[in-house]
Amino acid sequence: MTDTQHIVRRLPNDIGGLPADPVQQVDHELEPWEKRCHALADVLDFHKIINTEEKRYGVEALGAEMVGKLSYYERWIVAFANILFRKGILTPTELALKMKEIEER
Amino acid sequence: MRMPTLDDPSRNEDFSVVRALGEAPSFQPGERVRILTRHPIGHYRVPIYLRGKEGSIEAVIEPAAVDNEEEGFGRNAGSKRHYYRVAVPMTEIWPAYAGSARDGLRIEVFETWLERI
Repeated sequence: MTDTQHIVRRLPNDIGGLPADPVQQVDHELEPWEKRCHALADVLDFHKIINTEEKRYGVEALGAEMVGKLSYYERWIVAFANILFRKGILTPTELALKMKEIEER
Repeated sequence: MRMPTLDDPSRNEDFSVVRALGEAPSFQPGERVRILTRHPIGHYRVPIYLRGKEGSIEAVIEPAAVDNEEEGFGRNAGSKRHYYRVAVPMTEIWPAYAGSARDGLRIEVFETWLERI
């Protein structure tokens, strides 16, 4: 096996059994945007726009650094944006303009 | 076997479910199976730590479903096979497991990832 094969073979979220710090079992209070993100996921799935499995693949496709550093719903929302761009439902420009509009509210 | 005609009332009972090729479950509860060792890239649903591990079929998950490794790429249609709830002893997965020998993991695995042992 080459030095880099494991990067291809092991998805960034497949970390079972790897050395790690003890699991911190704490409750998280969800932010309002995180609840909306979850609702958005349900709507996208219900309308057969993005299914759960596509979302999982979309998260994996973010790569190890983003999967490791982004929070749970940050991973979802970035994955959704990428998938919607790929499907031609949304363009990067449209999203950028909307984000700017909301920032200026 | 006598083939029922279209208007035969018994037809619906005998033929209420017509399985496509490969749709009948390949494994039954209680059978011993091994999770295959393979290395797909891009998207997979069988964690690396379970590959090559042996367990037993606990349940056939109905109905048959599209492989979710295909669904990951947006394909929601195609051939359907079953998922199976596979029971794997923790001692099989983690050789140094210090808990009860009766402890086990349950995971739903798509048919194409299993072989009979």
